[in-house]
Amino acid sequence: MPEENYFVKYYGEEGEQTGVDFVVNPDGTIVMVGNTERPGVLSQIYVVKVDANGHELWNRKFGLPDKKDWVKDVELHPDGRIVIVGETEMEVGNKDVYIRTISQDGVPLDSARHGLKKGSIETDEEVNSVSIINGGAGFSAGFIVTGSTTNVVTADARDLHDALFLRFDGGLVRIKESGPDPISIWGPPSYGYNSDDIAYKSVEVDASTIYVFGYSNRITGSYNGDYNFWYFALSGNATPKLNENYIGKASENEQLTSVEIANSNLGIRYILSGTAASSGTVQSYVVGLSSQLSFDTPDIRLENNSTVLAANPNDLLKVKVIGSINGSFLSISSDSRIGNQGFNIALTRLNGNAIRQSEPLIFGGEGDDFAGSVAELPNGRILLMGTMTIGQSSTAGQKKMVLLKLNSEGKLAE
Amino acid sequence: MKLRILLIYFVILISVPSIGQVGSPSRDIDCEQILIQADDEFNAGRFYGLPALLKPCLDNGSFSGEQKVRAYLLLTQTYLILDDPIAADDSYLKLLRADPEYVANPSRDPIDVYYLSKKFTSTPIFTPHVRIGLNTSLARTIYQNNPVGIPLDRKSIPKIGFQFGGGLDWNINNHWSICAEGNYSFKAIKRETKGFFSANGQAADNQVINERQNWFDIPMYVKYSDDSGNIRPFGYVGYAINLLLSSRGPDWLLKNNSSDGSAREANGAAENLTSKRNFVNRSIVIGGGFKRKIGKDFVYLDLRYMAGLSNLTKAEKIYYDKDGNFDISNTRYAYVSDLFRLDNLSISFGYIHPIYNPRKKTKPRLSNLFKKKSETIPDNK
Repeated sequence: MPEENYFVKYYGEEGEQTGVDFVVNPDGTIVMVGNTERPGVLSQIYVVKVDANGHELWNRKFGLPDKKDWVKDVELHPDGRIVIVGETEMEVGNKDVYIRTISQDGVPLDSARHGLKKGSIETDEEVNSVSIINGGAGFSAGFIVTGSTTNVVTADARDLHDALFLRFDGGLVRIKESGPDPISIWGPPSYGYNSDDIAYKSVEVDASTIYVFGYSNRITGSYNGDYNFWYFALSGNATPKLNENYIGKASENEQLTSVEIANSNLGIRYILSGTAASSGTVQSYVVGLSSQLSFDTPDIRLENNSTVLAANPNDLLKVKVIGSINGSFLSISSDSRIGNQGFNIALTRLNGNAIRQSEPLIFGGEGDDFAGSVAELPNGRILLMGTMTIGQSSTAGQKKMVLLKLNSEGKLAE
Repeated sequence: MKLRILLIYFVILISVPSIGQVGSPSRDIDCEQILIQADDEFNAGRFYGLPALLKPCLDNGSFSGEQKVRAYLLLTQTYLILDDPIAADDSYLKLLRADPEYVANPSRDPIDVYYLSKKFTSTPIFTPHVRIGLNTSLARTIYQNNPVGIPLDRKSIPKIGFQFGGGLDWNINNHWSICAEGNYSFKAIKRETKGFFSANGQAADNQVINERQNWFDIPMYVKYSDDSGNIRPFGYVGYAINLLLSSRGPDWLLKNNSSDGSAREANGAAENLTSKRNFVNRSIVIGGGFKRKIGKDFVYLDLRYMAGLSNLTKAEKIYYDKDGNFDISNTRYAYVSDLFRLDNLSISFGYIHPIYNPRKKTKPRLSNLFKKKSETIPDNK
């Protein structure tokens, strides 16, 4: 049966459904999250659970009926709960963080919406990811939602965003800056300079340390105002901030779009990937960091522009690199190099130095197609998820969530 | 003995002057009258003058086919009575050449002619035939490749194709033959699928996929035929090698329906599907019909079902175009080919021209084979 080994399957209904991210359960089932826009209905979060052969088990939609909701990330909690995180547009220029847990049967569990205020003014919070926090002596278990906020610390025109890291406990109650229980205190949930500072992912290192990865155009040292990857550390209660560092070339805008934990890549713990835009070209940019960060140059175990993505910068360009077998990497990206076909999904295997081993494998049609996420199954097969446009063009077609199951070479074959 | 026969011939020649008069060939002879006269002579027991009596009409071709048969039958009977088996064999052989389909009948023919006939056959060794007709195909799904995560309502719609070709029958005997054909055929299939991307079961998208294929079919089968009568039924069963020469997908459509009543359609140039299909395929052949005698030839009507045994689809190619790139038809039409077999029902009209070969029967070929084999086995004793 081909479906056991490879397939391309679309998911959705009337209107447009995009694919953003997915998790694979221990039983091989897959939970995918994306967004749906239907005639007469504002944008909602769309969740689909499928079996290992891509057959739909259930789908759910979440969101306020009179608001727009978007999903940005999904994680699988060790207790089986599915954690999704996104944004709700309360009004133009005022997006709030939306976090929700659902059971494996699709039953809604807890949810929360939170926004920040600058004085009495609601600010705009944009979400990039959710991290599951085990907690410890210094702080309680729960979740950190990472992103950015317009609740910035300076009035500088370049200070568009500050990094955002909202804490929630296991029941999705937000942990705030003060409270009676010392382990239920989380310092100010934003951090930044007089620059555009965006956090992408928080990673719990131990009971008293959290690393935050993002990107910033801060002018500091040899960095002269273009965007660079940026990482820093928080203590267990987010106070104080610890060390920080920047990675990137002076001539390029490096913007982080993925943070992954490596498991078989020698000397590398954190795989940061994103786009690197310079004059006339946009490339993928991959950085491997060691496990114990010193916030200095020795942290960087590899750094490479692996593939060309486009001629011009575009917010829709995205790169995600994960660790793969034998110390190699798998990279997916939204790629717009192919003639008149707009964006396509590109899959590239990179060697241990993040140098591509062969030409990218292109998936997509005449309309725009976007990369969502990628995972490697224990048997070496690759799951690739994103958005494809069904129809003859982006304007004449409809976007659908897509899941591809490929062999270890990235082919739709045995 | 020879002297006595010569003496009898001489007596006949001088005692029957009329026979001598008709002995000179002439186009003006009324051969039907001669034939009636020969019958009378035969019934009167005057056998020796019959060959000479009939010879002019036989030699100058004045007999019609039917008259020729009567004449040679009379001569066969005469030579059997005159105890001249060689001449009797020769006459019966000529009878069969005049009518290869002639079958001696004990209720109609003298018993000695009937027994003599058993030594002869005019069954053609090979019978060529040509055919032309119409067909329809049914895709029998082995595995439905569903491009979406939910079940879809998919149905096949019969389409008409055509075929033409020819074949050769190797006739084992009057009834059984082993046959092979080579036929070009154009086959078409159409599938309609509903249920894509619906809004609570409403306004679902629908998809139309056509496939037109050029085939060269090589059926090989065993045939049983009736061997007498004006209309002769036949039936056969066998195996076919089916070569899929090319396949294309014209007039594909994905219609995206919205609940507000609007619709968007995806269509385009014909898709090249040849690279996604297996070239060599196999099928079971079963069929039958009847043939009608026209002169020495036949016309026939044949109904045939070819049940596909092979999966037509190259499973590892279904998502890729002929250059190995991700096929944009995957997204344009939300289509990926099923794994399927192709059954084909055809009706053909044909023409058979038997190559008759009247001859004395030899021993069965297999027996000959065994005999030769046994003759070559060295005697170890």
